[in-house]
Amino acid sequence: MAHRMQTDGVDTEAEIIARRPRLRVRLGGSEHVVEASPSAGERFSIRVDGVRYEGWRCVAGDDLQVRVNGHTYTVHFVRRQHAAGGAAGQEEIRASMPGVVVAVHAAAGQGVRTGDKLLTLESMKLQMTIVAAHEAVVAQVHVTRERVFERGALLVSFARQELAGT
Amino acid sequence: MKRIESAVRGNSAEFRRRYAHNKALAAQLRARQEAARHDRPARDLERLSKQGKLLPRQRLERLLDPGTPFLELSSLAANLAYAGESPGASCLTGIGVVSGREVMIHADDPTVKGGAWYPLTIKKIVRALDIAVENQLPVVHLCDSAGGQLQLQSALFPDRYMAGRIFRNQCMLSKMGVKQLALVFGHCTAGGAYVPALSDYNVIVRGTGAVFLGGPPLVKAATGELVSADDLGGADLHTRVSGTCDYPAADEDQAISIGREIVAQWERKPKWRGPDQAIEAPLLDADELYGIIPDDIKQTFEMREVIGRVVDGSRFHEYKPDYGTTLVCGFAHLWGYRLGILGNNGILFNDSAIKGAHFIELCNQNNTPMLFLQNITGYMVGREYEKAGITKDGAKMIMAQSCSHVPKLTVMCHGSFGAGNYGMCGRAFDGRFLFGWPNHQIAVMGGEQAAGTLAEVKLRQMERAGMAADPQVMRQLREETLKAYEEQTSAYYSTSELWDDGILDPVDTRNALGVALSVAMNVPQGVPGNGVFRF
Amino acid sequence: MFKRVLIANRGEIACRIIRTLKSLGIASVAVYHHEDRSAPHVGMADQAVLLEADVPTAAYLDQAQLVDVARRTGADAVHPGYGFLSENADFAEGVTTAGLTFIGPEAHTIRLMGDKIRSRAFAAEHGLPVAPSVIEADAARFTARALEIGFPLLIKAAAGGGGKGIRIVRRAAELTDNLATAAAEATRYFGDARVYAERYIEQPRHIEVQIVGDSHGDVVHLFERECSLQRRYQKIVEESPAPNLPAGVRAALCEAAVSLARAARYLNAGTVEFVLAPGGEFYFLEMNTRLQVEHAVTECVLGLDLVAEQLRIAAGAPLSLKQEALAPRGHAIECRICAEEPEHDFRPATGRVAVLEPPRGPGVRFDGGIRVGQAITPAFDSMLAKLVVHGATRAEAAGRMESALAGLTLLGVPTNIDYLRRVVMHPEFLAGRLHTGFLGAHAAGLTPVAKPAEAAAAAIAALLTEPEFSQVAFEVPEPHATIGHWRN
Repeated sequence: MAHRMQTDGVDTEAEIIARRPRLRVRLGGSEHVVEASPSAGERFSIRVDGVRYEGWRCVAGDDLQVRVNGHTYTVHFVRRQHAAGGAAGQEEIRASMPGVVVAVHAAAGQGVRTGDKLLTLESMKLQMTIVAAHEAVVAQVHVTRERVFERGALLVSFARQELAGT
Repeated sequence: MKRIESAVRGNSAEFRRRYAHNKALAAQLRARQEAARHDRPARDLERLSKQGKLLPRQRLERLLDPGTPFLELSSLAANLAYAGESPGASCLTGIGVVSGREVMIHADDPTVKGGAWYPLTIKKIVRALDIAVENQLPVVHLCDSAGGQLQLQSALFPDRYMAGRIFRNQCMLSKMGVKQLALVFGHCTAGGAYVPALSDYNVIVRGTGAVFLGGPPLVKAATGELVSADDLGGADLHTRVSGTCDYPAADEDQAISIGREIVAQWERKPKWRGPDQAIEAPLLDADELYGIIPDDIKQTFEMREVIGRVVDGSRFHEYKPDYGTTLVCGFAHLWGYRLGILGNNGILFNDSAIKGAHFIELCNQNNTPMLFLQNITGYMVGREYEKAGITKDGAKMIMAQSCSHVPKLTVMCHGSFGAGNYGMCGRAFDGRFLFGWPNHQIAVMGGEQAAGTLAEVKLRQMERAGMAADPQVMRQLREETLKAYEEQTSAYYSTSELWDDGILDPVDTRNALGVALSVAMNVPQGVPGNGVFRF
Repeated sequence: MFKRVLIANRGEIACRIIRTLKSLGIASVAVYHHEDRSAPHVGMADQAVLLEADVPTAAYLDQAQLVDVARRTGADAVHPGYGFLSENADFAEGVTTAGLTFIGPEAHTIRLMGDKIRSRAFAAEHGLPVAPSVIEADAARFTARALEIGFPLLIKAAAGGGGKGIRIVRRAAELTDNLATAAAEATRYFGDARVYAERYIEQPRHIEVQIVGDSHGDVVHLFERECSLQRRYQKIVEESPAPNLPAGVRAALCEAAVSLARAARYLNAGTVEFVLAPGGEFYFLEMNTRLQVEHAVTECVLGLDLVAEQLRIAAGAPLSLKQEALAPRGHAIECRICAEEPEHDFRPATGRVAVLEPPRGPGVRFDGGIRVGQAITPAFDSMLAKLVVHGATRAEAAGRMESALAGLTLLGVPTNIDYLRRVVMHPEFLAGRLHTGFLGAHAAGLTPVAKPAEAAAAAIAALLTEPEFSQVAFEVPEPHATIGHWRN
């Protein structure tokens, strides 16, 4: 179970090798002895290979910034898309209840990103927006405005593609 | 606590001879394990690779926390069964750490006949789940099995400890609040379908994972319906429509990643009793065990030399050192846990049996788990000893040991013969774990003694029938008995039949016992109390 | 003096003006757009008024609303800061018409200097050197004029924008051919045959002179600032005095600036910008009729408060400064801290300020306008703060800047802090060999030097914040942690 990451744009992989007597971490091709306590605070003080490093770290958008010795490193973790809490790899969207299409926001062939609006539906006097759960290309929108649909009806299908982050 | 002073002389001829002998046995063990784990027909491996599947051990390595141990159980199960068709009994079980939590892992092995279950596969899975029940150990199932071997159904389906027991144990675990997660990598057919269905959580891999009571061939045979595995029981069907599965995963890596996240949510239950002190490595070198263990089953050895190479700091507080000296009793620490140890240093006499029973009571009164180090040819026989009540004294030890509420671990270090096996917590006595060394032998008595006893009985029969003993028949009887004993008393036969939880390279004993004890300390075994001791 | 001043600005400069107002006992009125509701200037001012506008920048450009707020809050003067409406003559007029004081030059001065062509003509009229140039369609007339200007010569299509189709002509012999090509291009691309030419100055420096004039006709200069270090035509490092500037050139520059200001009867603070050729000749570029971003370096070397001086002048007081008494002391450098990515062509960056630890140390001044938690959006300028240091010598100032930049922690958004640090440590910078192409010319030497051990430590510090990693690192129970990787 390795962590894929980029430090200032350089790809590397991190893995824990051992914990005793000291935490040993492999970063790419080199191993490092780490002395640190479990803290995710912004201020940090750790010892790596016997050298003490003190600095700050925080989240900056999708990245982490780490400031040490007057230099800010940008660290990016390559995360796997999780089906948990999302719908990675979903190839189609079906209606979870019957309703009517209020608006269509996407068209076939269109590339969409996570959170992009696809459809506005009305059902049981409630309007809801269907958004893309992941980056994808819309293969087809199977409904049009004011179209009434049944539960389970196919609404949008996506083009099959390689999942990111594998 | 005093450190054990070793009397081992590494340059003695005996040490060097024993060392060479036992080192070779360890190498043989490694070679057999290697073959059981990795020797597979190339076409089976290719098929899996084409399906985008990882091998069971690759799945395991990705699931476990990096840099942590994995105690594999019964790695050589079925090694002398089914003409070698079912290496490792076609499955992988063991204890490891996932997301910081100790878990039992059960993985099907699709590299062997599609992961189909043999009778011993089921015995191995049931044993793993028994361990999970006894130790309240969460389970992660890595499912990829074609189902039961239909030709062998009578040996795997109907009886109490056969296939149904897997599912019964799953239900019991769930009832106890012991979590189970199933990662469905391949097919879960027929009974196997209940493994994910009875797990508290499950994840299914899109494309390759499938769960169904009857696979496509059975459906076709039963109703004529033609349906693909994916349509019949694939990820989309089960995560969107049937609700049989919880999380869809795009591939195996993602399934493992989701699985790790699920385990990370599980509560950490406190142990029955935590470690008592900091961990200290033994002072004595475990490698010297090879030179300590005899190269002949009839020879004995100093069990304190073994204790000193297993316990923390090689420190041992010996109890009643000058009484019943053939049973070494005392306290030590193993990976920080206080532990009572009983080790054989010869045949059990009245005094050693009584000392053992008393020591077991001390451990129970003090909530101290026990370790039994077996090298036992039995309780002493003969008129003098019967007169002194050797049977009732042995019975006291067996009663005390059986009724213990503290967790028990057993290692068969050399010989395990006769009723000594009972007193020293043999398989029947519900120890939490039982391991053997490659040199160990187990039988109701030694081969020589059995041959002698049978010859004696035969002789009497013939005498009663007024016949003269035929030396030819007598010789044949002796040879057949010896041969059968030789085969069936071996460590490999024992582990093939799952009479133990696996053969250990002696140098691995401390680590294996560490994992086992840590897990065993999750819960005591029932409530304290004893039956009637015969005084 | 004024009782209450409205600051028609935001960010660093609003904060900086409020500080001076506080020190003079003048009440401050801040204005803000909804998006800026948590910005520091809102909290620092005695009073803050919300401006209604859909687009954030539009709020600070809404003259009517600003004047109205000033009136309603009882302000008697308006300070425009820099940017936004600071050089808007209509606004200056509107403020004055409303009966309030505009802290800056008079509207007609702003108007004059805001027109590039008129201001150049005005400067030339009053004897300031203006870069010679020609726009001409007729080839013969063009050539004659071009030869007068001299070589090297920059020629391009007059109608073309930016750096498009620029050619440098170094000898008279090359002129005819280049002219023909340029004219053909000009016709083809722009339908306008006119070609533009000006003296091409290699490795030019950008030097500006700060002046202040009072309502009594008195003008002094506050010496020069070196503003050559620019990216995307914007300054990022400024200093005073300009390094390696011959005394005669300095005197001539300052004298030219003062004479222009006098000619314009310039009121309040202003800056005359020049381009300086390596040979020492200089040309008038433009005049900025406001407080400059980089005014702080002048304040440091002269030990004064320019905003306080602006307020006094606007209130009608005579200049408190006497030219003879003014002498720069030591050296000051300013770095503009911007939310941008130097390694990606300085593209502006966004984020949320998560950590802000200003540097400390002697001679360090940090003019910030941001606070922790504040969102940095593309709505406003990417400049987040100014870091200014003062030292006895340029070398000392550069050293102090280097350690101040190292000591400045501003996280949550990508910034140019580390890039600036490499700039001020660059040997050519330390040697004072500056020109407007400096950053491009030394780009290779301004990239970060890989420090594998430090990068590994940073990666590990980052990993430790990952719950997945730290859980696996620290939450494995015994005896598993001590046993480590082991297979039986």
